[in-house]
Amino acid sequence: MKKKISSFQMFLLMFQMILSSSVLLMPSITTMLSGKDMWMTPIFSMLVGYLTVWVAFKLYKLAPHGSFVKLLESSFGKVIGKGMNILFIIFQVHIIAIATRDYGEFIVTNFYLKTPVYIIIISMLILCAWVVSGGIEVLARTGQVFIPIITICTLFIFIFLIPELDPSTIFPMFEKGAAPVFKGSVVVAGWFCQIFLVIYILPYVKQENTIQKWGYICVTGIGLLMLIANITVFMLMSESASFYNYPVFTAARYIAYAEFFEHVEAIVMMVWVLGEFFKISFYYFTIYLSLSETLELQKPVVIILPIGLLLLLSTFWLAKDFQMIGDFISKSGTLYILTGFFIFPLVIYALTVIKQRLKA
Amino acid sequence: MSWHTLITIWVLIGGYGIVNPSWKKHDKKEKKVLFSLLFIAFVLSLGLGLNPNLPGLTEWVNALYRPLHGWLSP
Repeated sequence: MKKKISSFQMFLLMFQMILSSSVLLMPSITTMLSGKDMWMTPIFSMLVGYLTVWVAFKLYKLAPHGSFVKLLESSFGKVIGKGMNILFIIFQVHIIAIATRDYGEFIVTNFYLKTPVYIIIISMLILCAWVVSGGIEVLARTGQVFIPIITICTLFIFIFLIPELDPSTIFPMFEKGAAPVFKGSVVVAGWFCQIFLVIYILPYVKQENTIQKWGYICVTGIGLLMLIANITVFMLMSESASFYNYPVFTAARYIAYAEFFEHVEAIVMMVWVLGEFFKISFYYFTIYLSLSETLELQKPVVIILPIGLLLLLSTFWLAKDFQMIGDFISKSGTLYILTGFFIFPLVIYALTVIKQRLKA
Repeated sequence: MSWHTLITIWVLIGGYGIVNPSWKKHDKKEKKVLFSLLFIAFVLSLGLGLNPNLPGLTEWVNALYRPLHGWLSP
């Protein structure tokens, strides 16, 4: 496979892919589960992130030509391998359908109240299809331009909120013991484990010897930004953060300087739209790549639009409304994502290593 | 999704396929995959048109993980 992107570009893509939804959604869910200790949940979840990067890199090294699709076929036979690939693709479609619907509902509920949600979703999917048809290099270069802007804007929102924060809200720590922190950390780990998708773009990365290093830096960076988001939201809103679907969006409304610098929630919208664009594009690319490799297509570009159509229909089939999304995320979603992006790769790695040692 | 939305989407897809016939230049295998995916999408859109609350993976996953729902409750 032709090496097209640098390790740094890989880092940027994974950084934004995880952060796009987590910064907006995570504070509410972690406050509900962990209360005052919600701010420390990203610290413990980072361990899952590091382990996921390690497993992804190990599987990449074991895979024929670095392809995870071919690894499943070579380890479990062509039929079972292809079946596992198809199931994993369906899993990815499910996850991104929920994320896409969540994005659409956020935009419609907070900004474009009279616009049908399918217009928002279709416009995003058409843009993502265009980027995917350009290849990973286009996505990576787009990321290089926009992701630093998104990150700086996000940090500015938190910096401008500093005068409104009350540090005493986070005390006392571990008031209800470690169990609530553990529950919150498991939910945040559900975001970190999605970094496993990096395995699909590792064959395109030029500097193979720095992949792992940038992967660990990515996890550290994500954890740091999540920590800042959680601490800021909790010091601003305390336990009432659990009542808001998007606490960071609500927090941005608190920013007002000299009756001039106001309505910063528009920046939150920009951050959310750009961030979700990268997340949806990345998932779209991995679905397209794994489907084309599973079906062994020579010129797979023809399936990009049908995949987009299936994604569009899936957002209405698998995520009917916002209540369903919230219900799914709070109950089964975290465990489902951890099963697919954390437990499944670990099991594949263990079985592949055992098989290779038995062969030897 | 309403019927007129679904019909509009399919008319646009058909129109795009006519205006941009680059798909005709692909191999038989790629055309088979293309039309298979379109067929799956067509069946799904029929299902959603007839029953907007068509049960799917989300309900099945919720049912599968129901015994573990208490693990992550506050």
